[in-house]
Amino acid sequence: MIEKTCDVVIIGSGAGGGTVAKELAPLVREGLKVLVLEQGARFRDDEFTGREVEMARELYEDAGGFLTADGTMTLAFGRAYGGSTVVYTGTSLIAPERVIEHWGVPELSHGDLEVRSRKYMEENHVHLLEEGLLNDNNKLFVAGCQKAGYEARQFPINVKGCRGSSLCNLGCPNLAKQGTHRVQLPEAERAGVLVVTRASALRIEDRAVVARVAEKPDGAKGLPSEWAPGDYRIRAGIVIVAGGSIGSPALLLRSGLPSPLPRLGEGFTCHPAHILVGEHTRPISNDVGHPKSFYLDRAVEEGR
Amino acid sequence: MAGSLLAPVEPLFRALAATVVPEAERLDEKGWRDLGALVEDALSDRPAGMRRQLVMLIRLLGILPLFRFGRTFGGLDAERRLRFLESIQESPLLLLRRGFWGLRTLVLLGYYGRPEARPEIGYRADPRGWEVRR
Repeated sequence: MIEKTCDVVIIGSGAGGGTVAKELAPLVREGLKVLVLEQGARFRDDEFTGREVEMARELYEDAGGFLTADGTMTLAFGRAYGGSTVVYTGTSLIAPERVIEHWGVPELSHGDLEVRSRKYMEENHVHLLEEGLLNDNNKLFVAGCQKAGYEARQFPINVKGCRGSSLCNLGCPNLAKQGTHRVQLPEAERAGVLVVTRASALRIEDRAVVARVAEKPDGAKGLPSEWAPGDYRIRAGIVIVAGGSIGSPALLLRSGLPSPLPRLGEGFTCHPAHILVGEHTRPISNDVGHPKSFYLDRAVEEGR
Repeated sequence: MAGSLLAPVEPLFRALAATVVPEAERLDEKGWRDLGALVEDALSDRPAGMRRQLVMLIRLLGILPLFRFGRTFGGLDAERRLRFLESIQESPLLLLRRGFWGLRTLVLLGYYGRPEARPEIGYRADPRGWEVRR
């Protein structure tokens, strides 16, 4: 076991971890060591080809087919420098007040979250896509909602220079999506935060994290890890767990923490992806343009 | 498929795949090899136990029709093959439903993951996006 020491360890480099890394970066100037551990790889810009099979294998846990324990559902979540912000469609909503209330986290208010969210929306170039860039599939969705008596709303998205490849979920081949891999992490690294990729957190110990750095597999995309392959014990005063809604509770459960967390592993929510197929008199395609430009919040529409 | 996971059940796997995706009947030998390679690749980093279970499931799907139709899956006509797999998909046994769902997903990945399948379904995604479509 190789021993390392730092002041803050952040586990995960996605929307949570990447953002925290950037916010803590000024501490580096004060002489503190801030480290980010990311399970996935760091990819070169030219490795984002948009090709489905190869990119799914590289960017997703279990190639996007992560099986739940009972084997009845697969979950798709990213595993890369930037976490799932590399592979989502860039949709950037502020969490609704009802959700924050439901969470019931002490001292977390919706107002505070909104101020912070707006700050990141500005940093990450979140905006509504121009009408001329909307594809037929999304326009049809809006028309369908209207006909059914609902109002579809446009997603604010975090793209800059979107060419409409439709390949957001495979990591934008045009580098347009402004995830933490394009904004927060590079800024944090410029300020001296160390990001170690291919590093899986195995467990948390008392003021330490045990992590395993993997070798780059033969033929795989991405750069080798910043650290030599092997097992590490990283001693740190503060450990921040930001490994996503699957990774974080799994890590905490594995770690057997001394203080009880009665709701740990409960309350997982996700959004199931269903496919709607219709026959039309003209081709309606979703393979060009941004693929997910509108949404319908039935909870709002139906007053729930 | 020689030396591969699916090699011992190759004819049966192909018969099942062609029932899930009838267009697969038209594949030539290279097409089948490409389909099989995509499936094998998807399975390559899965646990050994899961890979064994998949092969067992394929074998099971081969003989289960004996109880209903008096013939193995390979001996059924296309319509009965489809009826049989639909019954598996709706089986009261979670294990069977789950297994078939996995197999079906792999077949869909193998067939539609081939670049040659893109024009068949009108899929034209291109990194250049609007530039090549307007």
